[in-house]
Amino acid sequence: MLIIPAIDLKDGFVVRLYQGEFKDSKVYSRDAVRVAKHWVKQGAQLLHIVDLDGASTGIPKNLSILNDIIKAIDCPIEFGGGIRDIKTIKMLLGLGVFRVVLGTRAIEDEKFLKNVAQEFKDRVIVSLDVKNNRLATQGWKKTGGLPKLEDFILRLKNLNFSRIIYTDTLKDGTLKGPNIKEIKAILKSSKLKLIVSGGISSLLDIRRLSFLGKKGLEGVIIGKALYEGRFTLAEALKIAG
Amino acid sequence: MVLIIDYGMGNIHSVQKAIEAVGQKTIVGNSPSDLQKAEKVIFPGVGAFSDAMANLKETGLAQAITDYIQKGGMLLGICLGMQLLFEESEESPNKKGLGIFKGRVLRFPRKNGLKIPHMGWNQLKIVKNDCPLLSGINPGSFVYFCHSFYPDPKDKDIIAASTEHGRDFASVLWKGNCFGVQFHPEKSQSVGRIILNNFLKL
Repeated sequence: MLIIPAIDLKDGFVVRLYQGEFKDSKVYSRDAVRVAKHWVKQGAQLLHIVDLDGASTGIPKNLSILNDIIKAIDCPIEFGGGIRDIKTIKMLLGLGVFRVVLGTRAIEDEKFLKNVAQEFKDRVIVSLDVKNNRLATQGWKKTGGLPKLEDFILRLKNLNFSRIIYTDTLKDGTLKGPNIKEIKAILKSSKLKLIVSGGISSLLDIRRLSFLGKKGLEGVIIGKALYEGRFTLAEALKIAG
Repeated sequence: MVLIIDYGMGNIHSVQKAIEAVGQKTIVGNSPSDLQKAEKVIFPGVGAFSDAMANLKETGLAQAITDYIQKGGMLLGICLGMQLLFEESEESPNKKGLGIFKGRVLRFPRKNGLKIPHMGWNQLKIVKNDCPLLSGINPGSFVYFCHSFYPDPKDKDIIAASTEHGRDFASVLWKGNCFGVQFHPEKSQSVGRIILNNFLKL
């Protein structure tokens, strides 16, 4: 199982939010490049970078920092937050992003989803941000009028996506442990490779998740627990196997 | 003693550095007699299939490598080195390869936005969990690629891992004492180090 450190950017700084709420943000570093270098040096194989300003406004705002990070490290990057058109996806892949994370537009616009699946295949990944078993878009604010979670997963399967990201938004930033029950259910119903995030708090959480590796759990994104020093990345990597 | 075969096809230095970083002494050699003394052989390479085969024939290395493998010697082919183990390549249809692996090396088709060469990081889909080269490597692990051609083995059973780039292609091959990787372990950070170390421990 891959351990994937998260770098969430807001106004250029590395922050963590509580359940996605901007008013509950905490700055962990003013130097995102240094943070990225640190995670790579500790053994990260993939970084998950989120443009929070992009997620809330629909336009990525932290691209120059992203570019600085790409140039500074030798490690693939997954990037999301406010990416809502083909042009931006192309631009990001051209910049050297390994994989573009899509949410809002991919969930709300079926035709767009079909187009990106065809054009970019595994270079895009859809993030299922879930609030009380319902999909959430627009910076996790909107839950009404969206497809049902299970219907949407089926849609992704039919479009030949090979993996998805699942975030329990009510767990995110809480350090209350991941939603293992729901993770198991999604693994079972989707048969897709899964990257999960939200709520990781301890090495025990990682051990519990690592048992799901055989069932298709490919990676786990960790934010606050690493920034709060609950454990080190090296410790997590060791337990993840 | 680990022999790195130098047949004039580049990237020897980075391979040598990576192996010495995991604590093994290497020698770089280009004569058939070097293979007779080797305990392990790394067969790297970047560049054109036909030029490489011409060099190997001229120096007598082609026969020496074949003999070495037939006698049970452990060999790891990297990128072009791995491709040369096949019977032939679309890169140069009239030039025969070493034929250790049955099958051909194919060119990625140019279609709908597929970037060629396939360059950068990509993931391993592990097909054979018991492949000793992949011991301790998680499914989905990232390795570094740079190639326009990919192997298409006749015997699918030698595919130990695959990678997706427009299609699924074989990225790790394993047949007895002979291993091949399409990516560059010497440029693949921690995952590459584990893979090289696994080979050197065999």
